Amino acid sequence: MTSVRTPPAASPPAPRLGAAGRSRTLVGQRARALHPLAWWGWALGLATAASRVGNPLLLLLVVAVAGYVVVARRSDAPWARAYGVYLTMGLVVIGLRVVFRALLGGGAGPDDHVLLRLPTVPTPGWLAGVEIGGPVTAEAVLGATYDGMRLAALLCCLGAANALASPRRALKVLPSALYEVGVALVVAVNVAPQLVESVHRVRRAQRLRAGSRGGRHLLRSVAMPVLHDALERSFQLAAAMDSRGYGRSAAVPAARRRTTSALLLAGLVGLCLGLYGLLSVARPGPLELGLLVAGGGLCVAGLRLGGRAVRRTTYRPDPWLAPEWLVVGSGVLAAAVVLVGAERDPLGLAAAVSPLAWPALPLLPALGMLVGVLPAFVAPRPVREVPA
Amino acid sequence: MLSRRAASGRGLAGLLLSGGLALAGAGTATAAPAAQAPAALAGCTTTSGVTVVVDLSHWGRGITTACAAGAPSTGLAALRAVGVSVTGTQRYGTAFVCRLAGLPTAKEDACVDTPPASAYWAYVHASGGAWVSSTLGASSYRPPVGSIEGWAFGSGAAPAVSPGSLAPPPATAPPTVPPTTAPPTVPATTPPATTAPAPTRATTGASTAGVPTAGSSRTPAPTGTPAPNSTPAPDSTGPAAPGTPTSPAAADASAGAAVSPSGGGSGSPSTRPLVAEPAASTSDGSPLPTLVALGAVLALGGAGAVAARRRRRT
Repeated sequence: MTSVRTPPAASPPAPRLGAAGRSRTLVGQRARALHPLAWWGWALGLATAASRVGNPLLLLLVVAVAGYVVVARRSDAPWARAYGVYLTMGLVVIGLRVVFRALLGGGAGPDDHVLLRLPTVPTPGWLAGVEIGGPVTAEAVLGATYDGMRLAALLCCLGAANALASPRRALKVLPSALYEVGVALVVAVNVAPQLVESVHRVRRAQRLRAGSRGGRHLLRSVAMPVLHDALERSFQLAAAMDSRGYGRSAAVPAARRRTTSALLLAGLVGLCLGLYGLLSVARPGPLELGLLVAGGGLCVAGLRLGGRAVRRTTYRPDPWLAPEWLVVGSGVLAAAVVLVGAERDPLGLAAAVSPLAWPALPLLPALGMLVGVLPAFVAPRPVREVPA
Repeated sequence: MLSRRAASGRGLAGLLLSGGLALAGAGTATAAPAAQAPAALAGCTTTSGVTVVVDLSHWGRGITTACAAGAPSTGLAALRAVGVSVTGTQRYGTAFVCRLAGLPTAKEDACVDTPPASAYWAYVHASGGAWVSSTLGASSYRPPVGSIEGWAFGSGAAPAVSPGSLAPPPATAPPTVPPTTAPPTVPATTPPATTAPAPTRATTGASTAGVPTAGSSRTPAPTGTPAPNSTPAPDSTGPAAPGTPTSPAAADASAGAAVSPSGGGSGSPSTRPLVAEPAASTSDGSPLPTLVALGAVLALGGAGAVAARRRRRT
């Protein structure tokens, strides 16, 4: 009698693993979440490239590249839908800039194309440099649009990083000297979606009960249950975290704690001053670079000193494999290509506002930005939750 | 770049900047030498025309002085009237004067964005025998007739010629009655900044009060000279509408006005206008790159939509 055995369920072929347990091929890699710092590195590289560019075509390319990578590689988590929000914010920024420039920007040259003439509000003598109203020129509107597009591109890069990198996993890689900060951030990051979910729950319950009142009563009828809910959940979270040992501070001597804080503070101040000097001066000299390096060094020293006293291990740290290198490399390459292009051809990267002309498309920076699409093909597919 | 990132009007920012830095623009009046016989520039008298001085000594081309006849409405109009080609920045147009007569060349400054604080065209007015940094930009400042304006390149330098040697002569023939008070070409004898004679009453207030006294350029002179309230150009429409944020003025005032050297400048000012060098064309103007880029963006958007739809289906 033959025993009937059901054949095992067909499973996808397991990827080949090398001796070190790492996937050897990029194409057949299993679904996993990319290391969040890799996504942030890629996004910051794109943002650096976008910040040096005033050309609207290149900025559009950056936004499109970031959007495509987000759509291709985002997970199903609730924060993964954040890119649309940032895109909307960018459009709002552009609109605001155009309105302000049209209302307050003056200085229409004789060659400018006037779109419409607003009535001029006469300003007193002590406001002589400000002109409210006046002719609205195409140069001003386009210039404001291009400026706004630069900021919108930066926002979209940040939005892409937010949508792709899980904030919880990003907090796992905080150095142990910043442990308390990390715990607070983890709690905060968990609270926001819980609040949203609480509000939904309360509103649904109210709709089920007939006679839901709006207006003034909305605050009391929705806010109170939500706050009560949040308080209860935070107590539960605190009890759970405490029972697992979170939030315990090691017995660090006071002198070491003070030294660590002083080093970190001095390092942050140095970093701020160095960054300010780097960004504000046309040709940064050794002073600004030295401040930046010194500030960074002090920060690192403070973190190392603070981390040495505390030993914390991470549960299942995210691996850093070849896809992570490729993702970060594509962002760095985009930034490098644009920076080199800015030195060699500054006019091509600028917005042609005065005189008004069709914007040019410099080839090398455009290709550099298209390289930013690489993560959509190289990064591993995100883990999909199987629908029930 | 992150530095300049608030969506507020440039005008307000320029105002605050100029207000805070107007103090730096106060020039001191030195004892200018005794009035030499002023060279007569064609068309410039104390009651008509504006004298424009452009200092090109940074490139070894000396100082050129010319007269913008009539009553130019703004400093920029005065420059254009004497035939100097003005190039602004690519980003803000002529709100920032980047090149005058083609200098600095494209190799020295690409004129994409604001010129750096160490190499820019400073806009100064003659006041009480010395150069005073302007508190308004060239497209918002209305030079009074008979005044002297200067442009010098560097980090806030003033033209290397004393305004006393450039003072226009009084109008000898009617229609306007020449001033009956002391000849206005002797700034050395007048105490600075209070009873400024007609040609130099432009921004005397800037040297006394720290308040942006741009308005003083519009009020009639306290001495009540018959020179009319100079440029009653209306506030609203005009080819070069005023009201540029005072960013160039702020840039001028940031380094402080240099004191004009005593002992007259470089000889007699020349009267021929500056040769207007042709502005380099910056773009070709074909819409093809725009179409190519838009096509690439649309392709990426389409691919993203396809990917999203496929994702939703699985």
